[in-house]
Amino acid sequence: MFAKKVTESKKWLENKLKNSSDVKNDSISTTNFKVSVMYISSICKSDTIYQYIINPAFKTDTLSDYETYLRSFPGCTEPKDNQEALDKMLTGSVVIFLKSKLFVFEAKNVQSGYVSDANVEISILGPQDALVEKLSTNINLIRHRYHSERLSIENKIIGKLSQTNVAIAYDQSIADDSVITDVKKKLSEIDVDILQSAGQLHQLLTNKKWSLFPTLLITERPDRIVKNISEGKVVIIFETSPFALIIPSVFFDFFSSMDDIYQLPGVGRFLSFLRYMGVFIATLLPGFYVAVASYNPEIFRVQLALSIAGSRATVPYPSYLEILFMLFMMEFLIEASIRLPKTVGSAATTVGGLILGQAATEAGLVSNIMIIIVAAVAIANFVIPINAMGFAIRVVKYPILLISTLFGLTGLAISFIGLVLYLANQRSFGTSYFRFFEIDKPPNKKNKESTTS
Amino acid sequence: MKTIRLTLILILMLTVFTGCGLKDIDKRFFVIGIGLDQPEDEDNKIKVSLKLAIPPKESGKSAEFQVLTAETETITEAVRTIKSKVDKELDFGHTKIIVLGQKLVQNDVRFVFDWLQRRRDIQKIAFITVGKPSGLEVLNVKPPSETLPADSLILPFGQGGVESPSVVQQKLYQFYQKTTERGLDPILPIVEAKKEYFDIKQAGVFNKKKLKVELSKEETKMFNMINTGLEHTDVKIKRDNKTAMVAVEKASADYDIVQGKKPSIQMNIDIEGIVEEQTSRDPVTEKALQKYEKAGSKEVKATALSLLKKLQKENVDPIGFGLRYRSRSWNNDTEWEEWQSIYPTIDFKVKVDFKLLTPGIIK
Amino acid sequence: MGINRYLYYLIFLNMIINVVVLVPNILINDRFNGALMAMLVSIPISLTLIYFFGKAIARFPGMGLPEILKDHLPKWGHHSTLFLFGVMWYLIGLIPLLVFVSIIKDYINQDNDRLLIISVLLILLVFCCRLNSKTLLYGMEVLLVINVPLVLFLIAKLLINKEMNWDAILEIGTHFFGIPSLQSIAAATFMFTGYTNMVIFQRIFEGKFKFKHIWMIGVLGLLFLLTSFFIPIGYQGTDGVANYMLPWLVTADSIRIEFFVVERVLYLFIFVYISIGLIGTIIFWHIALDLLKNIFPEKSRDKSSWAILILFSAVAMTLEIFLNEYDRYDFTSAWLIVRLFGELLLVLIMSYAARKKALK
Repeated sequence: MFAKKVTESKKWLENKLKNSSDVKNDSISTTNFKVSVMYISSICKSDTIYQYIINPAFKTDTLSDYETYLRSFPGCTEPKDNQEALDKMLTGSVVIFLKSKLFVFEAKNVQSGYVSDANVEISILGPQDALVEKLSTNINLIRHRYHSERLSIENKIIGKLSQTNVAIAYDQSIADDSVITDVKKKLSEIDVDILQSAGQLHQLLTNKKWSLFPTLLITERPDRIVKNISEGKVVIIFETSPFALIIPSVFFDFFSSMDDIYQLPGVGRFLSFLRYMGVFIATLLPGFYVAVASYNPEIFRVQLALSIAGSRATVPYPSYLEILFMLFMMEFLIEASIRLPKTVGSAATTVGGLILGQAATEAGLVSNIMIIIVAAVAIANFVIPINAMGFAIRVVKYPILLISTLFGLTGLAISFIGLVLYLANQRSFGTSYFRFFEIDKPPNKKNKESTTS
Repeated sequence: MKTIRLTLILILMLTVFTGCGLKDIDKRFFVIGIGLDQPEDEDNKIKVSLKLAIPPKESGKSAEFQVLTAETETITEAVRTIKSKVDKELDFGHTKIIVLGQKLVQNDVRFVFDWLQRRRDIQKIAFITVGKPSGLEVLNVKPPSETLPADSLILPFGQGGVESPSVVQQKLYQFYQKTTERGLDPILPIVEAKKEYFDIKQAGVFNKKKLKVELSKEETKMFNMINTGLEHTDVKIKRDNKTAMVAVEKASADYDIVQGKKPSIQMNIDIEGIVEEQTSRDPVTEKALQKYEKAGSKEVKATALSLLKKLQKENVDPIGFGLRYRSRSWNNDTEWEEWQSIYPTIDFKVKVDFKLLTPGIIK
Repeated sequence: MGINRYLYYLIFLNMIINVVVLVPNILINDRFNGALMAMLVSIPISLTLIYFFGKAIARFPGMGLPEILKDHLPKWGHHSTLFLFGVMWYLIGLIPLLVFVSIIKDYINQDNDRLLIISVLLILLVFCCRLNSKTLLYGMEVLLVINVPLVLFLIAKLLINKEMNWDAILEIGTHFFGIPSLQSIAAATFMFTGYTNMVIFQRIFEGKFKFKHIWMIGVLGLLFLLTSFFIPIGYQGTDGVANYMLPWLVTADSIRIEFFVVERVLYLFIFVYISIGLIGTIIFWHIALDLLKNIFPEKSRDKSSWAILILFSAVAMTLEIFLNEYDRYDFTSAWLIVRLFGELLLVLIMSYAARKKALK
């Protein structure tokens, strides 16, 4: 009678976790008895399992001895029902099925020792962990933040030569089926020799030659991943890259930092408002300057117009060359300080900053006001929390500058409308890029299976 | 991809045709002020002076400017003539002040406004004034405190500078509106050029065509009080050989046109103020305060009546009684003719509510 | 704020762009002869049309006008109706375009050629009106969210300014009793016609939207009508206002922002109206293109849509060359009258189709 119950429980657990590839279901057959164990490999310590569960099984003679042995551990208990067994399992316990009884044995593996701090997406108040270049650790980090049987993790291997292990993580009950099948289909269609980074997979998935704006969010923060999974998104995690891809992502996701949630709501709103201001300045200010200074100086106040005219008096070339010159100098400076080794990097910025800030204006090559504008553009660009979007914004100001140089304010207005419509035309796995409100989400299949036995 | 290539080609093609529009800010001469005067030569009709701002080469330096003049038959020709005298493009986009010479406004000035209003690059929010003795001389004044050319001429009109109760602020569009509107006549401030400063205290009322009557300083203040209400002004009260000054904190007026057998304009003026100075050595008791109030309201009433009567005598209407009459009357076909016959004989009834809130810090 | 909001955006869009479709010009010209009455009359007319249109279109969830007509009209009727409405929607976008060219030429790019300006605008229009309907709605939403606060700021700034002459407005108010001309009724009804854009956009709503709160459209429309009619009068005077080619631009140039980097409100106004107006034109031409290309057989639609767009541009350029500003005014006021009857026809056809479907 009890034996039947144990088999039922096992079936129930298997059913609940059928979509997760990191669930291990082993049976241990010694000469005297048979025991089976079930656990989620990514969050359990295999050493512990081997040392305290499997090895002793071969050393004890009878099943009851083994049971007594297990009972002597404080971390080993008999669960009240199946649900408790499942919950324990999800937090890193091993379920041991004896003939007529089942035990849960805690074998939690918390990986914090060699998990590094986030250094690309920095948060002040949030958790500091970042993903690492090991898939099992990454899955562990996620599992530890999302204790639900609905989280399913499926493995895939991509890359003919690199054979990169990739895991697709999502919440079964709220993720959109069409997106999941689409992602799976696209992943299996990928034909590439070597896959090494999330950015590369982003290109392979979106498959556009000239795309400028990221349509999938690349992140290194487990807390962001977990938040997105809980919103029904699909996440791809890697073996060899400390970054994950979030599918689908909309424009506004790229402007949210995890700090927006951790800070108080008023502060969070202000921070996100700052970022949108930053985008406007970073994209439109150079074009606006050229359009106004070269076509419509009457837009400024007279005081401002005269001081710009005065500071430009010694500059020998038109305003658009002046701003291009300074912008490129700024880009060189940024690139140099990113790529150079850290010790040399600070030297490069010092030299560059000195030359650009002081000498260029004194030599009359650029006006003072231009320095302010370029600096404002650069700083406003750094406000964008997601790196890929920051780079896109860096590029997009140049076409706007070009069109504004040609057609003045009309050009600025036209390129702004063009940009908005270009963004509106982007799709991220079927989701419109400019999705403002929750209401436009595809209908969720919420709480599809919440019935228990 | 195909569309991107196509766009690039189209943009390149268009590049060939553009380029002529691009003119950098330092290659332009900003015309800050325009002065329009009666020409000395009989053959010409107008003398145009342009005040050009020279941008400061270094920050912190004081303002430099240049005034260029030309006399021709039309304004456009004069501007052309001046253009040939300078090395940069003239830009009217920052024209902030237009000064009409005192002599010019004695005759019909409407042709001037045709040019000013038709030109799209002249701001319709430019301030417009009458200049004494001439527009050119007003433009030539250089106060030592000026940091930007013509600043000291612009700031008294715009908010952000001194708010003097005797400055009538008129923008270009307002003047044009009033030259066309039935029942509302144009009024302009009069700027007097002194050696190193300006004196703006008078106003001139136009009868749609030319200057009809000049208002004194007190009348100008009264006009402002009736027209827009004032927040900072003062009233001088004389009572039994003693003089007191009252700082007015709020002054406003409203009026109604009472129709009937003997139509009249009923005007209520509300003034609230505090005593600022008095020549008498007696303390300002409650009783004295009331006396001052009484004397004050008498004073204000007299000024108001003299202003209104003066305007009536010249048959000009800068306050807009006529428009008020039109707006309250439903006989749209005849109302304007009715008003024209009523206005010369209409009665003015002024009621002043003069309130002194406190004698100040001391009694 | 469900999916319904896009319907209100479309209606709102028309209300804002009335300024560049010369609606205030036409009404102001009639200010002494029943312009106010025309505005009043336009509300019941428009609301009735909206009511019947909403009732009819609810029977065809997820369908656009071409599909509806195909099922319920004979082939010749179907094609000629599509052609008629296609041309109408083309013109509704063309007029703001022409007005923009002259605004840009007058105030922004004085030294550029008119043809250059219109070709730059046409490049944007041609590329953008081929985009997906959904994309356009999303883009419109973002542009409205950015610009509408600015529009409201401008209106508020104009209304609270002391220089606004309320006597002038009251004087026009006393001209309330007058027999309105057809022209001004047609101009006033334009305010409310944003709903007709549903003939194409209905497709992406998949029948999930409803015509609710019709009275709100009436109130909002009346408010916009009153502001766009009275504010220029309050600033330029009852008599002077008619002397301007574009009274609203001069009015926008009549106030200044004292404490801001940009002092002249005019440029803010132009920038806001160009971005709202161009997205309007894009949407109207998108509809026109969709209606016209459905005349052609399924296979050649991609090619024919390019041909239609080239034709659109060519006509726009020709009109830009040959029409002066007075012609443009006459053309617009004539077109507004034709449009009113077109709207009537559209509602009739829709109701006919709905009836036929109900009987089936």
